[in-house]
Amino acid sequence: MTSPLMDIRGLTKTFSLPGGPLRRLTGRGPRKLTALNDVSLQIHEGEILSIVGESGSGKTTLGRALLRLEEPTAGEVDFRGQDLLKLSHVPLLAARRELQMIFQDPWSSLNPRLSIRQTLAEVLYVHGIATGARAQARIAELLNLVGLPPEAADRYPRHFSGGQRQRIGIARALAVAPSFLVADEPVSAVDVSVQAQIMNLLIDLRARLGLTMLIIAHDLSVVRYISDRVGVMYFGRIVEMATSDRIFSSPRHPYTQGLLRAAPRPDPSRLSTTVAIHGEPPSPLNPPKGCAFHTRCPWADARCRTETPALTELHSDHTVACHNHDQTTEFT
Amino acid sequence: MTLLLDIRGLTTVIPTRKGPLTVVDDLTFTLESGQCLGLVGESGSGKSMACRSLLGLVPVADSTTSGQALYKSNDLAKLSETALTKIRGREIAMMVQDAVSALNPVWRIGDQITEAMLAHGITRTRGEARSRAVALMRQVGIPDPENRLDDYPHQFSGGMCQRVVIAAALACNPQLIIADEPTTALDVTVQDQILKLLIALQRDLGLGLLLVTHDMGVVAQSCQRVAVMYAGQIVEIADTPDLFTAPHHPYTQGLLDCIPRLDTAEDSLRLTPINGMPPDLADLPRGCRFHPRCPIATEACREGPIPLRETAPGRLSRCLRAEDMAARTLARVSA
Repeated sequence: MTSPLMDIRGLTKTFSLPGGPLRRLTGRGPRKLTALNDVSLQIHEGEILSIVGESGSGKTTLGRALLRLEEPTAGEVDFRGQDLLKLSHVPLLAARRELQMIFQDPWSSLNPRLSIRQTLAEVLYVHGIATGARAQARIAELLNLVGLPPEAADRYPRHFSGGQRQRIGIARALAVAPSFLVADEPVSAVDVSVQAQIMNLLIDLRARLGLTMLIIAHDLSVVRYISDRVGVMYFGRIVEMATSDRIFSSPRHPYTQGLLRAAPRPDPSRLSTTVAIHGEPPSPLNPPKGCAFHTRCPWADARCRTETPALTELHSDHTVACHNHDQTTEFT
Repeated sequence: MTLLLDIRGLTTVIPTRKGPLTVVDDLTFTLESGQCLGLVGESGSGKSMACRSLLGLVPVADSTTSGQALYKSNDLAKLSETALTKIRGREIAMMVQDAVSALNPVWRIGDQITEAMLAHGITRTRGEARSRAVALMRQVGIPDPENRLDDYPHQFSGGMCQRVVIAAALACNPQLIIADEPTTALDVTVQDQILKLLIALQRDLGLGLLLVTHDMGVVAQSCQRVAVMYAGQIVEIADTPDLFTAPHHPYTQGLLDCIPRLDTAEDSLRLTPINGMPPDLADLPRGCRFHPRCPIATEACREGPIPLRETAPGRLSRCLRAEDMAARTLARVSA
């Protein structure tokens, strides 16, 4: 296999929560919340890798940490031979011409007082790509690329629907001609009839521009259509990673299996009345010992309560972090 | 089975700066006890406004509601505010989308569950109300209810807050629950728990449930009957299995085609989106409101209003070409 485009090793992010005066007086210091816990993964040129998980799983922190929108506490992010985490401000800005992000909420991620033309021109200017007539030509090209009419350039964000705004967000990310895109929940804020349009657009853009993408999502069914590989996160760790086919046909982590069962199926002939996973995710301020999923896991035993499972390779394209993965083979 | 709701031509108009806006247009459906009816639609389709119109809770000053909204034999659209207050919360309970903000942050959970019981005189004393609250909390799966009764909402997770809201909705033994997107704000594993709890309670207690959602998966798993809304109107009503196997409206078909699915063999990487966008209510297309996005629209679809009509026993559609659609589905199934 060729060397990966991005190689992430041991990425960890710990947030400090300022305590109240009582905490300061008693000298216990700020509380620590580990959002990302020793995450390692590789992303290959031209692939779409999706990371799924519920709120609080650390998936958004992962995407932001890669672009250093959030400074990771430890780890390495090797991209085309350089460690992104060691770059100082100027080389980082240069690296961001290669790495761009599409944000979740198209309502708050566009400046309401800038026209679409100004929004896109700003990016071209900041990165020293184009000004004047060349910038105008590039703006027209970008709008065309994301399926918006040229007239859209002189309108303001308020004139657009959620789906159109998401297209503008994509155009802004593409303005610097990046090779790698991080898309944080690109369709969770748009309606289902528009969601399919945006997903098809991302698939087309990958084909036309040879992009590599990391897509962060909470909805497994959305991810299935678009990804080559899928990683499942729970409580700051990747618990299972496999090709899209394998994740959906033979998931081995009990959490992945539960997530798949919990998604309501649009098929009234196959009703289920049993609850997929009982309980709720534990508090990140008070993490359970051992495997973080043991508090909700039907397979949990004594070992799961004390020892954190490492990712084990089941197959060249399938790793899972579960002590009991040899027992979890049945999935319907 | 008794008929709980018989809604005919309910229409709500709200004043805006640009003139009156019809947010709910000619709403017509029935709901029986022990039945779960799904009201599906995308954002802006008028589904939340429809629920609020039923209960006289449209959150806009000077809105007007016309038409008929029979609950048993009372016309909710004509009742006085005092008479409505006796029904709301007592016989018809409503659950809103975001449980965390629906609860008062400075009130104890127990007080929020007992409030309606005491207001409607279901229980005479506070002690009696509290013990009923404990029983309700246990029924909706809140662990250790005796001790949690005096906690505040911030001490509960989103899923647990939604359970509290369900307990409060059940407090007065209502006959009908209107649940507006009860699981949208929740994570998928918690959504699954809450939905299954709600359906189990509805079946066990024989309640009528009007479940508002945008998720066809939720409808398939919970509702016996479905009404699909588009641009303020109901465009199709049918029993759930019929609607999923052979929709009588192209919008329903479009919705079913564009949902990504986990349960089918993956033979194509592409989804089929519905082209274009839902119309602006202030600038509706003439004729069928869906015709600019419809793959089978004809000249006739651009003319005059399209009525909701019976297209098969127990099925209603607001499409001129419903019969052609049914024929197409038959051809596809037999092919």
